[in-house]
Amino acid sequence: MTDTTTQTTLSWFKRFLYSRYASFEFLTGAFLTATLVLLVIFSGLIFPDGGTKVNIMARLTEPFQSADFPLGTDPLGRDILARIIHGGRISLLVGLFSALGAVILGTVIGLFAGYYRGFIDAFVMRFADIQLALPFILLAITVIAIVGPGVDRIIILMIVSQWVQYARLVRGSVLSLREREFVQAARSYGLPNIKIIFSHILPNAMGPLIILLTLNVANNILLESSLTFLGLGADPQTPSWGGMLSEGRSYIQTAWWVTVFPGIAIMLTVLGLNLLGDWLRDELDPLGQTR
Amino acid sequence: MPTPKTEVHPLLSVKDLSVEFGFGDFAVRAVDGLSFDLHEKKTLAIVGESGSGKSISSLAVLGLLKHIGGNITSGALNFQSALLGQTVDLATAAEGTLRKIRGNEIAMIFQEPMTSLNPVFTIGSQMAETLALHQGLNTKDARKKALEFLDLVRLPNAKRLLDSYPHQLSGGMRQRVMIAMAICCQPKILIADEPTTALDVTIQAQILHIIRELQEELGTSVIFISHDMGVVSEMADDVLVMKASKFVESGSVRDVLGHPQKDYTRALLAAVPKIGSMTGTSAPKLFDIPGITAATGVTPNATVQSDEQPVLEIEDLTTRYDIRGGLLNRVTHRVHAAENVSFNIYPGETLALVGESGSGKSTVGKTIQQLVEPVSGAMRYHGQDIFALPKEERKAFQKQTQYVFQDPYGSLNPRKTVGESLVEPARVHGIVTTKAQAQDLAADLLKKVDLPTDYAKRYPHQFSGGQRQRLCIARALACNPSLIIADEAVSALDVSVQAQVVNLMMELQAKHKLSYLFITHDMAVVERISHRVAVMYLGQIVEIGTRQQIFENPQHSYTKRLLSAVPVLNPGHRPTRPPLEGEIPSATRAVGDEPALVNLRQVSEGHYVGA
Repeated sequence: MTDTTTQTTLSWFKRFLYSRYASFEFLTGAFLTATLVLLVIFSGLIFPDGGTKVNIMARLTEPFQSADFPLGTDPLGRDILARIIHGGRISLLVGLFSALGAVILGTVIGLFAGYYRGFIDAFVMRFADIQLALPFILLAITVIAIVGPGVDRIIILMIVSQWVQYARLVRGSVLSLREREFVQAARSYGLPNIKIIFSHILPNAMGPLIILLTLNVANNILLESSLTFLGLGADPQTPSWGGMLSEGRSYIQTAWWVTVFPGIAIMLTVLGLNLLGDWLRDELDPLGQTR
Repeated sequence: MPTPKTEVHPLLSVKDLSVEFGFGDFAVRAVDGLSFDLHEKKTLAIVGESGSGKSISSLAVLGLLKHIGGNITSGALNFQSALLGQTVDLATAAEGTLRKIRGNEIAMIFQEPMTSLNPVFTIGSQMAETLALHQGLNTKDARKKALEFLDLVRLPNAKRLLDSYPHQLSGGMRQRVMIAMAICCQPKILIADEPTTALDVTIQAQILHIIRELQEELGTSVIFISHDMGVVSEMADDVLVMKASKFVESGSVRDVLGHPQKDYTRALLAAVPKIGSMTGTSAPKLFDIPGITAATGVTPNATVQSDEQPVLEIEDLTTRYDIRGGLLNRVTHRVHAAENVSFNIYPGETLALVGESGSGKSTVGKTIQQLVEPVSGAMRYHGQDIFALPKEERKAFQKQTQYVFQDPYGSLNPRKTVGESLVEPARVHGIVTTKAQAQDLAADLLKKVDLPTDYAKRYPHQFSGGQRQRLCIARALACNPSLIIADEAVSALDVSVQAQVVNLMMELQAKHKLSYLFITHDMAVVERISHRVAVMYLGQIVEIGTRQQIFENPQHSYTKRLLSAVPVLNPGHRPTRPPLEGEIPSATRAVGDEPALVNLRQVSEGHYVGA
């Protein structure tokens, strides 16, 4: 019944220790993600040639041997470190934009389907079921075979196949939120439906969405790698992590570094994003706040 | 400390119990130095408002605190265990020992009968589980014993119930099953944590009666946790009052409830609306409780002259919900939530709509607010037929009525500031357009409900239940409505807070000449606040009249039943009312099976009763 405002007399360090940010997940995740984003943004400054310079004399240099090629070179003598950092562009681009596109499309559809129910809901959700039944790789191979490969197409493909999970997730939240009393209250004073959906329901359905989003970014980076590995992704000239894995495959017995380093890059990125997602989930979960 | 009447050791002796949640600087003390004794075959009631630590104390007795993150930091809970043949300190006992005692010698009935049974097991198998565990019975014997105890809690058709699933039972039946489960090992101590709070009054009366009888038959000691002073007065031998995790006072029920020593207890008792306390007065009356809420000099509106034009006339309102089923998904059944409901509400008047769950009282409110479409009927606002208007104009009418919901925690959007929420209705209807206007209105509204104006920037979770309900009322005032529909608006609040909010509502009514449709199941609050009362049963009004007519001269059998089921705060008095058997029948009917309409006949001026 009473307001308990505890006076904070703690030092900043102690406050930090008790704050939500003092967790392994957040610190590691944020460090990994921030490093990646910074490297990718400034990749042009660090390696102006974009990691495409062929140096056949230095082909398959072992890592940690020469200062010019700290992580070694690939079969064409291209610097693996430069290629990894430049390749991150494609990975992040695909990962972020596909997930963002899917989250926007899926959320809007899910909000309307869940709020209005009835025919729209039945139609959209049955369509979603069909969509879920299609294997993504098969769909990707078919579509790419018709329209040709490219990063933009991969992004669109991912959006088209992934909005479903967001739509289902949002619809589920909406179904319970629309019966909540604050939504009933908004209806009782005549707030238009569209405003109820976007100003009352959406903010309360955001928690799980953000979590699925971070998990999906990580997932899509992996997916992009596999598509490029299959030759369905970015054009072979542009460095990308998936492409590097694919190129290094035939050398895996003689030159392990060609595949292992891009692999580690993927792993660290996905790990960073997953840790952030985990942390966010704990933070947004009301039960998690009692820890 | 209750003085031990005999030299016999108490069954359970709690000494200086303290419970904390969290660690170090962030520890919250939930129980602080609590001591009490529980004697054999006695009922000890622990009363207090929400957050006073009464439930936590009972969980400590069961040794269930670790499960929810609590720690017993000091104190002893000495329990005379007949099973182990020694005194056990429940605070320090090993988990294995506690497991043997729990459910066997100390059992518990929880508040929510809807959620404390596992929905995927039959009643029989859930009861057999306890029996198999503690008494080592085989399936067949356990079943036989389960049957015996279901009979003991007077459940009809006990045999068939054994194979039923929880969802097939009503709330009252489930709570009886819970009691049967709790007593099936014949515990020494039965802890009942608000066992009837979620139930209707007539069902509550049944359950209380059963608990009392069982206690006599089995000689069980009961720790009865409740916030309802009426229930406590009927059930307890000894009473212990708690406030903000601390002990306030204890003693026999006559002493504590009859001659309270502490101010807090006195205030708490004064805030309890007592049915029958308003006999002889016609106008509503403010609560006057020193330290909690004082009368402000505002006199509630006296009974309204009925020659004035009503604010709202409801005529033959019928609302039904379709239930679809079958192969073609056709309407097979209908819930006849409201049938031919007619009443008028006059300016500045409170009409209370009372009834038990499923009586359709909320449906009537929601239909008036246009949250639900009626099947037929008319609604006239100052003589203008609302349902005949085109859709757009009907929407505009929504600002004339405002709805206040039951759950103060659920009816404000947790992600919006209070200021935003308060002015939203006014924004919708174009009363407020600029930001500055919105801020002024929010400040004005907060002032009206006696909250500081700078609260507008806060979020709902920063407020207590009572403050939130004030905020909901403030929001309802945003469009200057003529009618406020309060749907169980004070039912979820603690008594002292409830008294404040009821007072606030009456003051606002007097100042702004508001009309209220006060929907509730709580007859005692109705007596305080209302000018006229309509009693609903199975979707129809069975009796309507002024408050005095209904409370002092009830005519319909259901009204009488409802009034007699309300627990009375009269320490030492044990009700002699016969246990009311049976449940309220369902309002769900097959298509074409129309319910018989109740014909109201006039008994006296303004007092109508159904045949």
